[in-house]
Amino acid sequence: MQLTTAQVKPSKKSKHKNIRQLLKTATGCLLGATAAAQADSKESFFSGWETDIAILGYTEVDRVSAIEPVVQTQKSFDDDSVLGFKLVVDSLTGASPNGASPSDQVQTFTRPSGNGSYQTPAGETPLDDSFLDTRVSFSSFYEHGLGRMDKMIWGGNVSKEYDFFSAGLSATYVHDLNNRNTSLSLGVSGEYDFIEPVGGIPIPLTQMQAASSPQTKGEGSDTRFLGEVLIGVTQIIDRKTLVVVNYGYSQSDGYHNDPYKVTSVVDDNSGSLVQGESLSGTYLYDSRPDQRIKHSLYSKVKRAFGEDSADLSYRYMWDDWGITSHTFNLSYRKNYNAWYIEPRVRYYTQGEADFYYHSVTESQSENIGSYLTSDYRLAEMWSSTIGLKVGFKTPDGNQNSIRLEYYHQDGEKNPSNAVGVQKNYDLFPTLDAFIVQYTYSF
Amino acid sequence: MHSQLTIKKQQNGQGYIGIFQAMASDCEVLIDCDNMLLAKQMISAVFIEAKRIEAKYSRYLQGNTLDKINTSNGEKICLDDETILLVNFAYQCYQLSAGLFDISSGVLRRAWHFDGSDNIPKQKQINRLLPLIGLDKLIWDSPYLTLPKGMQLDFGGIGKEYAVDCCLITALQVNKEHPILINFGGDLICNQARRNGTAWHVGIERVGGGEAALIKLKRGALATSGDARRYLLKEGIRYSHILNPQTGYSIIDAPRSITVAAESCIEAGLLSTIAMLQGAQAKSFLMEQQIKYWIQD
Repeated sequence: MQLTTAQVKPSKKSKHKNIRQLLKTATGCLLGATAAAQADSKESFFSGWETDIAILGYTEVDRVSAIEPVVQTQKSFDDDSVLGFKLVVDSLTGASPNGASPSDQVQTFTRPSGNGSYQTPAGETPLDDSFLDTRVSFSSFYEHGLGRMDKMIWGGNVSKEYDFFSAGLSATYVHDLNNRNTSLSLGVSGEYDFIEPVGGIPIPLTQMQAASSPQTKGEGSDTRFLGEVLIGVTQIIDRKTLVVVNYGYSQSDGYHNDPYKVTSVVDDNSGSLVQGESLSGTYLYDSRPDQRIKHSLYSKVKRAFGEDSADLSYRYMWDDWGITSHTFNLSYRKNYNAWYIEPRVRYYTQGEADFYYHSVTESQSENIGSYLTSDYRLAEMWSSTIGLKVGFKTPDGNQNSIRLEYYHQDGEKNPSNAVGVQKNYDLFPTLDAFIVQYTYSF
Repeated sequence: MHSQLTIKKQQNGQGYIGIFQAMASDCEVLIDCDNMLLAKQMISAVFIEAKRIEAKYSRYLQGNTLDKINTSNGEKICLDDETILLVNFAYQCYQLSAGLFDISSGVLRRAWHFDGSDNIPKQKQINRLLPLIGLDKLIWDSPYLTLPKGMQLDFGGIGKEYAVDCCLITALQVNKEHPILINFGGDLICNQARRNGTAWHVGIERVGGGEAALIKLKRGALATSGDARRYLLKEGIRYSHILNPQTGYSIIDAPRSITVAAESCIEAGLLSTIAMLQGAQAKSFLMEQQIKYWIQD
């Protein structure tokens, strides 16, 4: 079957005449002036929007918590084009690991602003408790047909945080073929990020200084550009099965460091603190390459089982920082008359970046290369998520859903290269988080 | 057959649905409102109007308006107002389609039996019928019609679409405010978007091995012409039930199905039928009309 749909301009040389107007006149005579469809006037731009409002609560045990309201709305127009907007506000509070290792002594750190300090008791993972941020992000998209078998999707987004601004644009071209059983997509996107850390940009690999001392900070801000290309194939296998395969390439250039993260330098034998230039410990500021190239392969199979459907996906990502990761996701949606449940499991595992160290010894630090990070997000780690979503309709016919998720993240807590007292402590900060989201659609 | 009307409240607060059989089709009326009484009034108005039109113009009923025309035996007869409008409309369509759309072509059914078999009629059988076809052979002096002996009229090509349009008018006379969708076996019309502002989702039955299509409709009508079930197959050639009244022959190179969107169902129906009659030229004909259409090959 070939199913084609179109609203096309007539070709100049067509031998057929346009009978539509004459037919409309004839119909007017037959049905009278009250003819049905003319009864309704053109609808206004402001009616017919489909809107979701959602509120998400995120809580990490003993760490960050966030409240995130989301509003999104979209409308399909008579010409099958679709316009959509989304607004997300994130409000985070709490403590976040600063990258330093636990020690057998009390550790003192300087706040990012350079004004004031905070202390971490012996044996505990150092957390910067001044973590407080609000993010506002706005995005929009416009999708429209391009002839019979093609469409374009344009996107734009801006995001603003206290110390960060980001703006991006994207364009995706989708081509259907093989009787619409196959669709090919090609997307390109670009993003500009502006980073303006509290207290300025730390000079990489210099020591964190005491609050009373001059801070080893350079410029006030820096930038990063990200470009991405995504090619994808969606194939309908049979009436119940759909397969998606995507490949993505992205390259980002510019500032990649986490300005709030440091790496501990410890004694070669005792694993204890090493006296720093102005602090009682030695902590080196984060240093990462100024370019990152990522590749990703994604595949998904979606299959219907009667009224229900299952969704299985796998993503493989590798980059030139030495990180490879695997993500498995499985969800199953069970539909009942007026409601549905959707359990989900996700498993993620990644290898560490070439320049990741939970901490470095004094002698290691003398031979360290240009790059060093102790950010757990670049460490070897694994995480699992289990979740359940329940959707139901309110009597007015509108859709509601509640999503509950539990997230557990873990890594190498007792690495073999731990030194001295480090062997007594967890060198990877495990994380447990709960997510609750309520969505109302109207 | 005794046809009944069933009215049900839809799940999830989507209003009411009325279901009945008419014109050899499954008929559905959807009213997107919570007022049960009003919904029932609108649905029953549609039901009564559909049954009225079916009774008046069905070619299977004796003694109705159509039967009186077809049994006039060459005598001049006087038509009522509604039938005058229908005959006028049929004449206009005959002219617009350069004779391809002809309500006197029904006699070809004596030769063609679209039962999925390979019984292609012989040319001799068809030739015998051709003199009995052609609206130009009638004497139409409104309100007086003279149908030559042996000829027959059949509103089958427009009857269902006409009924859909009339039913919407009737329903809106009961109430204009509420979203309504009337669907008689795939020929359908709606007056406005659903209460929540979203479009009605209408499936087009798939033909052959592909996927069914989903059309979003906020206002207006859809009609489909096709040979999903009614065709003959011989030596790999599909003979569609759409017949060319000038040759008496089946259109064999037309798409399997054509769906057209228009303001009224009768316009959509005629455009899809006339497009079918263009055979392989269906697509270029549709393009020239600057309408929305869906073709299944």
